[in-house]
This record gives sequence, C-alpha cells and structure tokens, in this order.
Amino acid sequence: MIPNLLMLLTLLGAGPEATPDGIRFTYYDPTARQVYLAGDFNNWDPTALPMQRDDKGTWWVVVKLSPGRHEYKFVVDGQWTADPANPITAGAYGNSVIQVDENGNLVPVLPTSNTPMSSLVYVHGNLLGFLKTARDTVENRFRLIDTQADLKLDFNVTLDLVNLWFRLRYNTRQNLDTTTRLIPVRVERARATLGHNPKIVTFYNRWVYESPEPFRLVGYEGEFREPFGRDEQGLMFQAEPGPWKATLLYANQISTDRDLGYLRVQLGRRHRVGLSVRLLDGFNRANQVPSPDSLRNDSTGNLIHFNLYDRDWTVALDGTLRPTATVALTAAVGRGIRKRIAGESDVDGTYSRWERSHLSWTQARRFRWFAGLRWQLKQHHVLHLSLEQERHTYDSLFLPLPQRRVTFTTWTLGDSSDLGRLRWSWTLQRLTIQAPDSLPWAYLMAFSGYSRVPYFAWPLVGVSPTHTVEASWRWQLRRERPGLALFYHGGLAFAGLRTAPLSAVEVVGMEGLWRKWRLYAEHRRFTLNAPDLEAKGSVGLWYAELRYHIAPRATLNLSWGLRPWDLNNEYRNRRAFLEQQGVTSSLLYTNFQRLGKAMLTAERALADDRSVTLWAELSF
Amino acid sequence: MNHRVLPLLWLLLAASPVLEASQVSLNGYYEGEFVADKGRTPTPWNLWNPKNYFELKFTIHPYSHLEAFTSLNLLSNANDARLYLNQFHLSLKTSRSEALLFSREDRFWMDSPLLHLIQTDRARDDNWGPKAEGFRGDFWNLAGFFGTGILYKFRTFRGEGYMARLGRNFGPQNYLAWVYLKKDWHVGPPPTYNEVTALQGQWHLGGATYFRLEAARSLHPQVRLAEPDPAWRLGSLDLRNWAVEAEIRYLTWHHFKLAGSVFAYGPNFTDEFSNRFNPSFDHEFDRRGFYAEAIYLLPYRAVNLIYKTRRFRTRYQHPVMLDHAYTTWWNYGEIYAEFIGGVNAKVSLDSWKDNLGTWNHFLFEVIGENRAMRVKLQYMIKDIGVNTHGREVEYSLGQRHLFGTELRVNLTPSLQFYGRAAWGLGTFRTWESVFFQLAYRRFQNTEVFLEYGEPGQTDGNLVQDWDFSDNPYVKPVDRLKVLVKFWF
Repeated sequence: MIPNLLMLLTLLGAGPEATPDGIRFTYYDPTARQVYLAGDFNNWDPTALPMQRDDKGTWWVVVKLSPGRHEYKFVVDGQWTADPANPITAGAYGNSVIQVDENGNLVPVLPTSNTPMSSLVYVHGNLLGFLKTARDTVENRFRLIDTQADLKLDFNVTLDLVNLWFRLRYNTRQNLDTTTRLIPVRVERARATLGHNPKIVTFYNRWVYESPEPFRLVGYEGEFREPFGRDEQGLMFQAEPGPWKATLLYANQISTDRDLGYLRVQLGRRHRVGLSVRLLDGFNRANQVPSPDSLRNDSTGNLIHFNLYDRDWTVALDGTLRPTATVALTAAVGRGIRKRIAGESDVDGTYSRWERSHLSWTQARRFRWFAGLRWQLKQHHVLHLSLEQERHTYDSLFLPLPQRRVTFTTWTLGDSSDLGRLRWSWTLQRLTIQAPDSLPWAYLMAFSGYSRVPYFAWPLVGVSPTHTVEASWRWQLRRERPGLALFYHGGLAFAGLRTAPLSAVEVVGMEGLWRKWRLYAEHRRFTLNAPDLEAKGSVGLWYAELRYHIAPRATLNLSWGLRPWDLNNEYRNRRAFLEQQGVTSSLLYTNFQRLGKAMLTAERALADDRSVTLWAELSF
Repeated sequence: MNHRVLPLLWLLLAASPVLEASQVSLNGYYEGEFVADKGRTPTPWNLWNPKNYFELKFTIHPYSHLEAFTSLNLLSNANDARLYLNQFHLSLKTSRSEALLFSREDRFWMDSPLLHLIQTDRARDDNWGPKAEGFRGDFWNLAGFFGTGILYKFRTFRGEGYMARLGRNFGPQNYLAWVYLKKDWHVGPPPTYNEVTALQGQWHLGGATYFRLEAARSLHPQVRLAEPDPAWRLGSLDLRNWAVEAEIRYLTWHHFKLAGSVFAYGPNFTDEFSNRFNPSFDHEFDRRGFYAEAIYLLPYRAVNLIYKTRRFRTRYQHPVMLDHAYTTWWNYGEIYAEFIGGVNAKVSLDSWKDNLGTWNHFLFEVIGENRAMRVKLQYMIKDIGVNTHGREVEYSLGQRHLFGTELRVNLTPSLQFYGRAAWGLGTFRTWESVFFQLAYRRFQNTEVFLEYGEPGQTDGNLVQDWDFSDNPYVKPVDRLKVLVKFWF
C-alpha cells in the first residue's frame, strides 16, 4: 500500500527521487523566500543545505546519501516542515523518512503512523459485520436470525527501543450485557517490548513466543489462554549471542494464580541441538473431570467437581542434522513428572465439603516420552515417523486403594508432498489406550487430549472397556489450476487394524477465482458404521460461499450453509456437552451407544442448517 | 514523464484502490458535570454524582469508497466507570449507491411525507440510544429508479425489522414509490408480526404547487379494534386496515397561500414503526377528516395571518372503540408581525373541541433582539373559560394565566448570560420556575457553563412547555451545576 504510493509519487515527480548524482529532494511553495534541507545527514543544520527554486515555484536540491535510513525536514522561512509529498514520518518530531540502498536507490519504508494526530501511533484492526438469515420452520418464512459486529482495534506505538501494542475489542453479540444493554469494550491483549537483542517483553493475554522445538514435546502454547480463560500475563527474556539462542518465559494465570516457567536454550543454526524445560505450578479449582478414584455423582446425576493442584515438570532434548540442503533428520526425547492432588467440592465449586473429603486426595504422576524422525526426501517432500507414550499413575494419599495406571501409546507415520499445483499428504496413526475397566470414558476423552482423538474417532474411545485400540488415517489432496482448485480430504477411524472403518469423514470441494470474485463450495460427509453401538448412518453437509474483494483486505461474503468455523465451534461445544454425560460404570456401555447415536443426530441437525449469511470484513 | 511511464501510471491507478495511506482520524468529546443540590440530605449543597463522559471516535478510510467508523464511550459517575461501544458502521459508497453494516446507529430515515409511516425513534430500538443492528442499502439515479433496503435486528427484545422503498422519478419533481415495512417479534403465540405496504407519489402541478398521495395497508394479526363497519367499506373492499391521505400544497392566489389534505385512517391500521398508528403511542385510529391551512402575507407589511384547521370524525377513544362517533375539531389562528429594530410579535388563538369538552388557549409573544441581547416575553391564557369554582375539573386544571420571560445577554465576546423565568396563576394555586446560565466560550472547542435551577421545566418554548403549563406543583430547584465541554 504505502510502497505503491511512494512509487506513484516518485513517478509523478513529487517527493524524493533517486538520480545518478544522489537523492533529489523537492518542495513546492512559490511564496517561500528561502528553503533549506536539514536531516541526520548534516546534523540537522537548518542553514547548511540551501535549496534552489525553479520557475514554477518548486525548490530542489540533490544530496548524496549513504545507504540506510535517513530522517529529514525542510526549513521553510525558518519553519521546520515535514515533506508534504512523503507520507512516511517517524519519531516524536514527525520527521520525514527515506531509506537508501547500496546502489543509491530508494527503498520502501514501512510507516510508523497512520493517524494525523501523531507520528508515533499506528492504528490498525479488523472489523466484521455479520447478518444471518434462515427459514423459520414454525411459521415457514425466512427470518433474520442473527447479527453481529466484531471490532478489534490495535494500537502500536513505537519509540526507538520501546514498542507498545494493545488491542481494544468488542463483539456485539457475545459481549452484550443483558441487564444494561451495553456492550463493554475491553483491553483484550497487550504487549510491551524493550530492546531488540537482547529484548524483554511483557504481555497480557498475547502469545508472544512460538517455540522452535521440532515436535513440541515440551512447548509453550499459552496454556492459560485456552481453554481456561483469557487472563494470562507474563514476562519473557530473549537473547541471541552468536550461535546461541536463549528464551526464558514466565506466565501467570491471573484468576487462579497458576504459574508457568519455560526455558529453551538452542545452539547452532544448520545443525542444531536444543534443551527445553517447563514447570507448571499452581492451583486449578473446579475442574469438571473427576479424579479416577471417585465415580460418584450427586443426586441429580451431575459430576462432582474437583479442585486440582498441579506441579508439572517436563524436560526435553532435541537435535536436528541437515546433511544436505534438502534433508533434515530430527530426533527428540522428553520426560515429564506431574503431581496432581485432587479434592472434591460441591457442584458449584465451593469448598464446603473440602475438609470432609480430604481423605480422597490422590496423587497423579505423569511420564511421557517421545521419539520422532522427520526425513525431508526432496525439497517439498517430507516423511515423518514418531512414537509417543504417556503414562498416568494414580495413588491415593490416605486410602488403601490399589495403584492404577492409564497408558496412551501413539504410533504416527505420515508423508506430505508439495508439487506446486498438486499437494497431497497422509497420516496413519494408531493410538492404544490401556486403562482399568472402571475408568470413565469422559476422563479418557479429557486427558487423552483432543488433538490425539479426532472428532470422527470419538466413538472408538472405550469401545472395549479394558483395552481400547484405535487407528486413524487422514489424507489431503489438492489440485490447482489457474483460477480453480479442487481438494479432497478426510479421515477414517478403525477399531482394529484388520477391521472395517468404524467412522469416516470426507470433504470434497472446489475453489474458483475470477478477478475479484471467489467461489468456494464443499460437501462434507460423516459416516458411522458401528453396529455394536447400534449406530449406523451417513450424513452430508453442503456449504457454499461467494466472496467479492472490494479491496485487498476488504471482502464482502455471502454464504449458504453452516460455515466451517461455526462447525469447529460446534465440535468444541459437543465435547463439553459429552463430557457431562454420566460417568458411572453402569452407564458406561450405554453411553457409548448414546454417543454414536448422538453424533449422528447432531450431524443431521447441522445438515439442516440452510442459513444464508452476509458478512463483510475489513482489515486496515 | 514519458509515454512508457503513463500507461504504467494508469495501470497503478486502475489496479490498486489502495493509493492513499490508511488514515485513521481520531475525534473526541469530553463532558464533565458537577452538581450541588440544596435539597440533598443529610448535607445540603452536597456535591454528588460527579459525571465524566468521554467519547472517542475513530473514522477509518483504508481504501477509496470504504469507510469504517466506531465510537467508544467512557462514562464514570457515582455508580461505576464503563468503557462501552456507542456506534459502529462499515460502509461502501459509490456515486449512485451506498451499502453499510451498522450497529447502534440511527439509520432508519425513510421518506413518508403524509402518513409518516417511519419515525426513527420507533424503528431504531431506542433504549437510551439506538440499539438495533443490521444492514442498509441505498441506490439512486439508476435509470430513474431509486431504492432503499434495511434489514436489522432489535436488541432489547427478540425481533427483526425489514424496510424497503422502491420508486421511480418522472422528471425532477415527480415520483412514484412503493414502501414495504415488516416487524417480526418472538414474544407471544405466533403469528407475531406487523406488516405495512404503501404506495406514495408526488406530482408537481406548476409553480410551488404539489399534489401528494399516500395509501397504505397493514396486517397485524393480533390487533382487532373494530368489527366490520359499513363506514369502512368501499364496495367489496374492507378498508378497516387502510390509511389514505392526499394533499395539495401550496396553492397561491395573490398574497394567499393555501394547503389542504383529506385523510382516512382505518380503525385497524397499525404501524409499529411509527408513533401515529402505534397502539402504545399516538394511536390515531379510525379517523376521517380534512386539514386546511391558509396564510396571508399582508402586502407591504411584514405581517402574516395564518389560519389552520383540522377536523375529523372518529369512534376511537383510547383504548376502546365507542358505540357512537364524535367529531374533533381543531382551529388555530395567528397574527405574526415584524417591526423595525429587531422586534417581532405574535398573537395566536388555539381551540380544540372533542367529545370531552372544548379547550381554548390564547398566546401573546414578543421578541426583541440586537447584537448584545435577546429578550422574549410570553403571556398565555390556557383553557379559557374553564372555571373550576375552587374544585378540580376532569381533563383540565382550569383556566390559568402563564407569564414567561427569557433573556440572553452577551456580556463579553466570550461570556454570555442566559436566563428563563416563568409564573403560573391558576384558579387555586400559583407556581413558578427559574433557570440561569453563565456560559464561557474562550476557545473554539471549549465551553464552560455555570447553571442554577432546573432547565427541563421550561425548555419547551417557555410557558408553552407542558411540564410547566400543566403542572401546578412546579417550583424552582436550588441546584448549582458546573458543566465543562471539550471537543477535539
């Protein structure tokens, strides 16, 4: 955007331009008596560089500048004036900015401000307006069922070594206060950075660090941001002396005062070795998943809530070798110890039964190890193989209960290739869960991690009460031609390696581009084939979207059907809902049946969504 | 610039609408209010409930034809401090069209010159400001056609609104248009909606004379005021849920200007987007009558004589339909004169007659103004001849005499004094009201006010404000207020 403008102004003969003799500065003012050029290249001397005037009232001067960034201003009859033909300004004084390369040409400069008020403040954001209509089945007519406006305003203030960034956010549907009918605006995220290398960063609810660990064995992924809440704050220190790179991070969850510390030290660029350490410590109350030694419900059948104290140590070592430019071998191993102490409380999370129930406290230890191999065969072809095992061991501190153990073992084999217009990938994964027969499946779902068990494989969890074996196969195929792309992706879940697929999801679709128009359509089919669960059927969903690019980052969209990101939200809600479905052992098998049927019923409800949605999105 | 550069230049211009910096304009407004009341307990003249109100407006023009606007409010008072959304819109505008998504803005204006089918305070879901959210699109001058479409959701209750207007111009001053309105809500057993369809047109008859016609039909399944009535039948057509009005304005003859209209509003014609045909507001149901207006400009004198009359027959007396019809007749006469020296005067007589009685009001007003000050004097006799004999009469406070004065003085170029005082003399009591204000405007964007009294008692044109003329218990309020306003 701005580079285009600068180029345009240069073509028009306005603003600074590169010439064989140097940079030519111009200022148009036929009424001025004398104009000088001052900048960091002449120590801001207001009279050192007089400019000459042509017949049309344009003042000019040519200056040889060294490569790099330069700030300057004109002195017009004694008044300091920024260059009106150069929209790029910087610093507290609003000086005009240019950048010169080694050949004496002008290089585009990113602006630090887009507000007339200050050269320091840059405001950008994302605005979304949304209308959704659907047919009212009761009165059989089309109605507007939902509207929404979502605004994010980001403020970026840059002052040499300091950068401050914060975001204001509101959503007119989610944030509506039903009592006052007001929509509060909140500071959603913030970050302050001091320095470049080394640098210190303080943050509030913002992911500031992406770990370069090859398999994310330890990792830091903003644990307190999702799903527990949006109240994480912290501090990070980073330094890169030579071949070393060190990151030390501390994060705190405000509402519960849980702490997380993460350290990563890495050596090398091409061949690399790294050490990652993470400590999670704190008190997490009112967790809805029961500890495994208690299968009790209250009289209404609801789960008993547990308060958990966590102390979790994880250490991992990884290494990467690159024998050639296109081949990389990576290996990692990690070990974790988790201590969890659980105590029961009432359904509403109060502590009235805390003291009476202290005898049921349990201690949980977690051990996890991971080994992976990633082989880059060619420039765009990667093969990966990994094995991971995680073991949870439970002891009761006071009661003479037997020690129990749950083990998750995962084999993963995958391949991906990008041949330009054709891309494909597949992943075969086998997850084995060994658990006591009385362990509630909701516990397995929560602690196995949602990423391990894809949505279409949920019915597999707990099929066999004592020994659950599952495998899943995912694939992705994409074929591109100018203006058109076709894709096909999906997954299958198997109850055993030699059995027929239990469930499947397939998505086939197309994406067409023509000038500023984009048409996207997909058909998604979910199939469940589980006679043992008395659940068998297939449901298809259609979705189509027409998009018009009003401008590079402004779109107008019209869609029909349930939008894909609404589908993801739906799945998240279902996970939370299914976790609440009875946990007693007597209902275990019945719940698996209900799960299968519930999934089909829920998919059919989604397929009935024929809403038409209009929304516009603008980023600036 | 050579011939190679020019095509490249045009290519840049054509290909990229992003040829301006993404400018974000910030504007704001601040208001601080500090009040001390003599009547506060337990501490008289206690400074209570200081209020700070700050509004920040962002106007963003990232690309040509696109505009985004949002306004945030920060309000702190004795209760709490809140930062909340005031308004938002995202608009795309061309030379002949405009489309926008809006939230909490008043975007509901739509022309309905006679029946006033759309009044924005009803349409915008007002609850201390508009709360509705939706989409509006307009187009004009497309092969002579023009149109508007509004689709939105109410936020204080579960419901939606749909508004559309489509018309064509026949020449610069003639048009014909179709209007469709629908309000849906989810409270109560279905069907729950109100639908209005209207046809409107204007024809220029030459000079300053126009003929306008507007006819509308409504559907409101939950409203049934009147049983079938021969008075509302036209052949086989049942007009109970119709409203029609036709007007001619202005016929000029010598120094006369005449206007008139005839109207018929059916007993079941209901429009939830208006105040007039809304059962919760003005409920103008079951009316057939006419309106006439005559203005005479006295030659060679700055004197106007005005006469207006409105007469209709109806059976509706809120909230029921009577067995018999009655006539309502309103007459208004006025003499307005301007004198040399910045003085003007008005004398008027207002008469309202319906089945409950007759009420006549007399008003005399004189205003004098020069560069330094402005003075207004009012004298009004309200409900002339209604004698309570010392006791209260239903529907009236009885005859009362009302005096009012308003003064504005420019003490200095930056300092201004303003005051209002009013007295009421009724058959069994007297009442009064005062309000004073000192305004300081030193800079272009700053105002400071020091006030005494309650301004709301007489702000509706002095003694004509119903808060004063119809409330014999009004008395001056001992309240001091400091108000600071600042714009940037």
